[in-house]
Amino acid sequence: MLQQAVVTADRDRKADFDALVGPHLEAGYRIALAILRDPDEAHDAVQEAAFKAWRRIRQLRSAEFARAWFLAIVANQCRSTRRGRWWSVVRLPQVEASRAEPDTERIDVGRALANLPTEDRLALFLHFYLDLPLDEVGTVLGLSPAGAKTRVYRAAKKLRPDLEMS
Amino acid sequence: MDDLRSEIRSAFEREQAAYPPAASLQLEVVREAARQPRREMNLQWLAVVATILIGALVVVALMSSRLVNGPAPAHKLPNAVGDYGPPPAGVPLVYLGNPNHPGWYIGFDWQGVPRGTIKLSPAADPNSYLQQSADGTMFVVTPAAKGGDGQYLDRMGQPITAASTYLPLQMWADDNRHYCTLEPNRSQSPGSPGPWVLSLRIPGSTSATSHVVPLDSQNLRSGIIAIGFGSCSAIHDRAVLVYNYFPRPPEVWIVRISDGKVLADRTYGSYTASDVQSSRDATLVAINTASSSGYIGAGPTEGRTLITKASDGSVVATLDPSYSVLGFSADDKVALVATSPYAASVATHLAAVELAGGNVIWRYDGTQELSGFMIEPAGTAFAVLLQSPNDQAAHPDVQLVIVYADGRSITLPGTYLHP
Repeated sequence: MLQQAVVTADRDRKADFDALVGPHLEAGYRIALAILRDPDEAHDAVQEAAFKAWRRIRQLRSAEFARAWFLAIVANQCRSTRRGRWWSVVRLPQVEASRAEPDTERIDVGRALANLPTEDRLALFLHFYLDLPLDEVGTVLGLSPAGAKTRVYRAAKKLRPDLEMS
Repeated sequence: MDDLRSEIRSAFEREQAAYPPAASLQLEVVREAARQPRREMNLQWLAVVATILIGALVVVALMSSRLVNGPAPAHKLPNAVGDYGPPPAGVPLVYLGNPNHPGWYIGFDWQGVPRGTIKLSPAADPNSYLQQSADGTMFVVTPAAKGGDGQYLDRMGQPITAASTYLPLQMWADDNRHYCTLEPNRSQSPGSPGPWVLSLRIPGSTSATSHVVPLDSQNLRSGIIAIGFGSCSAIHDRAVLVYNYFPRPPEVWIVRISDGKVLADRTYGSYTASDVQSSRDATLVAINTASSSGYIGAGPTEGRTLITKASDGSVVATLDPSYSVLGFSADDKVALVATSPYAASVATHLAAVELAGGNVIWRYDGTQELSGFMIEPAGTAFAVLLQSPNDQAAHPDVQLVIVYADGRSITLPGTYLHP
């Protein structure tokens, strides 16, 4: 009887997890890719974030917060991955980057974005690419909505001088 | 702003288009998450136990600090933020970023005294990291993005202009002169398992001692190539390669650098062991339990955290299963362990354990998160970096704590930047 109850609870939990977190896994992967710039590491980070989310799923009080809640876990996981070990090195083999034909009209934007600090890139990615509202951007970044707005604005400002110089 | 929004979106779209998510991403990730072993906690009894334990630990810590800790260092430790001139030769240093000067790194000796400053010009890209050799006489600035080249620096922080080979899989050697690299054998078809090429290199030289290493295992055939260095000992002619990717079983290979021969290949329990760590001299290997690393063992009992000899796998010490070994002192007498799971955004509790007797000689139960640590070369101390769990920047503000084998510790005033 007890075994049956556990199985049922597990099945419910998986369904809950699938419904609450599942729809945001792709966004999580894309955030991880934007931060880590490596598809294997991005996949690993999302999987690890999913492990953590699974363990903490009962801390999620409302489905409406699921996206920002999970993406914050992904972002933290990516930061942890990037920081790595102080004295050591990246643990995964390098994936050869694909070299598409450069789009000369757009290359400066991409270069400027690539040179931004990670937290600035993340703010722009969340707001301009994933179209997250500022309150959710703030949740992912650990900032108030006003703080998120400031972060996005300042990050965008950093792009302009880069673009105007060339 | 709308133009900029459009341009930013386009730039990110191009980045993302190269590596779209797998169609089965949701299915796979949810399935793996559901399969992971997990802890069903009763928080009420846990809180009671934790309260009692914390009380007991406070008492013990207060007693032990009075009994074990020696006097404070005679010198006054300044809050170092300035320029301390060129680093002295022959003094092992630990480098941290100067918060007031981007590109400046302050070298502290193992008594916590600032002894020199290196100045990178231009400052390293904020997305890159400065990784020092054990004694701080060489550095590599990792590339800011995957696929870039690392830049090697000499003792003064000046670029080593002669060509060097940078590979993502690398580790400084214990002789403070060489570094090991590992790369897939290019003659193999992409994605196929082994063999690999292990090399011992010197910054500024393209020549290397390189040998094909016939690594092959279920782990490497799984498609998840989570292999890395545990140790690179030029002194002992050994490299320890580790495979750590929970819940896959951790695996360790002991390899002779001079000929690439695999001397041992050991795999540990899936779900019961989380990862393996090795000593810098490649003589000890720790097998950490799954629960000590925050994973909850599902199957058989997890036993204890094991310290084994790399040479034959025999157990030389056992530790509480809640202890996760992070590293060993250079003399292999003391282990730095996490006594709470080491994860981002939460406090990390730490201890230094004397292996011969299993005694805890130093403990940290504060509110900070472990940001990194270093091992004193040819010594017995650890340099521990602590950061706020709320500061998850690439280069967070960190505090430096130096822990000695006699249980003393010193905490430097002020904060610096994770290099």
